[in-house]
Amino acid sequence: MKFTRTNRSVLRNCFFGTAALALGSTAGSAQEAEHWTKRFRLGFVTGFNIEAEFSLGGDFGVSGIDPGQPGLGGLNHTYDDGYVRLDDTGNAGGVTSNWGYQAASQYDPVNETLTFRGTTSFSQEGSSSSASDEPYYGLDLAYGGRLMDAAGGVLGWEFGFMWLPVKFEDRQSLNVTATRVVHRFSTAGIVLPQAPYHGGSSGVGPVFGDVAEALPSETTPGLLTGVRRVKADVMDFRLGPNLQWHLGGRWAASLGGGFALGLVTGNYEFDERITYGDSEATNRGKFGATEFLYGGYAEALLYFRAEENAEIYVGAQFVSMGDMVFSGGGREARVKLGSGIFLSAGIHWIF
Amino acid sequence: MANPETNILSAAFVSAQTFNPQTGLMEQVIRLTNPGDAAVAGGRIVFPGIGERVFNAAGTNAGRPFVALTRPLGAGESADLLLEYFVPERAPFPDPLIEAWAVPVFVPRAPVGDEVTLTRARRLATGGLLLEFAAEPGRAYHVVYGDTVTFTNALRALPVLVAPADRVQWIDEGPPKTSYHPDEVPARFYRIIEAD
Repeated sequence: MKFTRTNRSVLRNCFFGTAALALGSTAGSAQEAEHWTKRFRLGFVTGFNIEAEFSLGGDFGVSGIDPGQPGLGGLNHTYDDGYVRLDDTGNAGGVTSNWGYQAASQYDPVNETLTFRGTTSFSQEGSSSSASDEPYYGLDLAYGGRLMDAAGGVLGWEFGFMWLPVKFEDRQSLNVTATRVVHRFSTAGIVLPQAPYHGGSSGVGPVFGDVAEALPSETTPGLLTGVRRVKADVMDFRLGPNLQWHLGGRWAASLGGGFALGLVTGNYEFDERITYGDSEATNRGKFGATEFLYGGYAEALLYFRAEENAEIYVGAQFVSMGDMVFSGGGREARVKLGSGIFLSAGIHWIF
Repeated sequence: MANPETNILSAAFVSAQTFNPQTGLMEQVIRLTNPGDAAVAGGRIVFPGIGERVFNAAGTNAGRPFVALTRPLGAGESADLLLEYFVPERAPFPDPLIEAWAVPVFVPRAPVGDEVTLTRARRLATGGLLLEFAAEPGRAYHVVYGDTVTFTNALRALPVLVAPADRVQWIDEGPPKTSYHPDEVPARFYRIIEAD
């Protein structure tokens, strides 16, 4: 299940609703609380100080177009600035009604030709940018036990789990150099519809021959816009000791720390456009990655005894793990989990 | 339709079928002649058993498509009608069987509706007039034409056209779409009306 903002809100309301009910009931004494052997907490967590660094450099293919082969009939051609495709007749007679173009500049009225350009690749010398969409919201739970009395408090152990969906978007516009194939079609014998025109596949309407003539490819500057996005689930498993003190009355506090094992799984998606004035190419795709990360954590929590076996807690956690890298084909997103700060609140049961 | 007369008019193909890349349709001219001694109010050419689609048919009669001449045909007069066929092979097919009917007067009155802006009117080498307008693919439009700028007694071209693309080119080559070829009238004015 995707952990949506609505779900989080329901969960949060559930926790605090429970807390409010608990406050209305009879609270246990601090002495009773000192006799616990196991404990469990469940809460809502907010993550900060997590960012991703996007970088882009090299040569890239473009997915959004398929100019097709020149010199052959009966093929589909998709360009940045139009299309010439099969119509419902299968291009009977070697012509098609299923074509469209974007700009009057594509038409040469003297030679009666229509020229199309299709981006096949682009290059970018190298860029980087940082992105963050914090705060991030997730779920935190921990189970622990009592080891011994120590340092005026209780020394225990804790095994914790946190789930945090994260998303980062890079919307930086970049100057790129694109390579475009150039195809030309003869439109002799028809009055070309005014631009822009998007013909249909019915076979009715102006038609022209479906064989493309290849012209030399062009290298053109363009502007790369759109979005590069990483969506991932960050899960960390924590194990370590902690020390809890009774502060007096209904209040207690704990400090802990230890080893953290992270599992990050997600996708790098891109939905880009390369624009050239009156036309544009689209480029979409995605790739995924899953990786284990290692590190450590430290945490501090404050507890308020609401009833005999239940406490409301708030806490702060610092988790440091390695970077998660999504990388492929000259694209990279480095999710930096080296200094994540997490604030949490929830219910703590002792038994 | 009341009392069609099937023995008054005669019809004959006067051209071979040719493909028109401007429309994507096969075209053929048929001549409707009134050899009789009296004028007739209008005529129809009916296609019994045609397997191809008569693209500019005004309607069907007992399942048979027909094109209409929406003006009188005097004694001894004839009128050429440009037939449009949609042929998926874009190649000629055997000339279809035809019947010529004299019919009572039929006046396709201009409809009322939202007007669409004409973006181009261009005379073609054939003498026909090409009109162009932006359209919503799949939507139906009426072409309205008249002899005066005030569109007094304006008529509706036949048939209603359905936009195959986001721009429509419609060509007035006279009958059967309009009553006379544009060259045969002193002036002609057009409007495009969205059909309901």
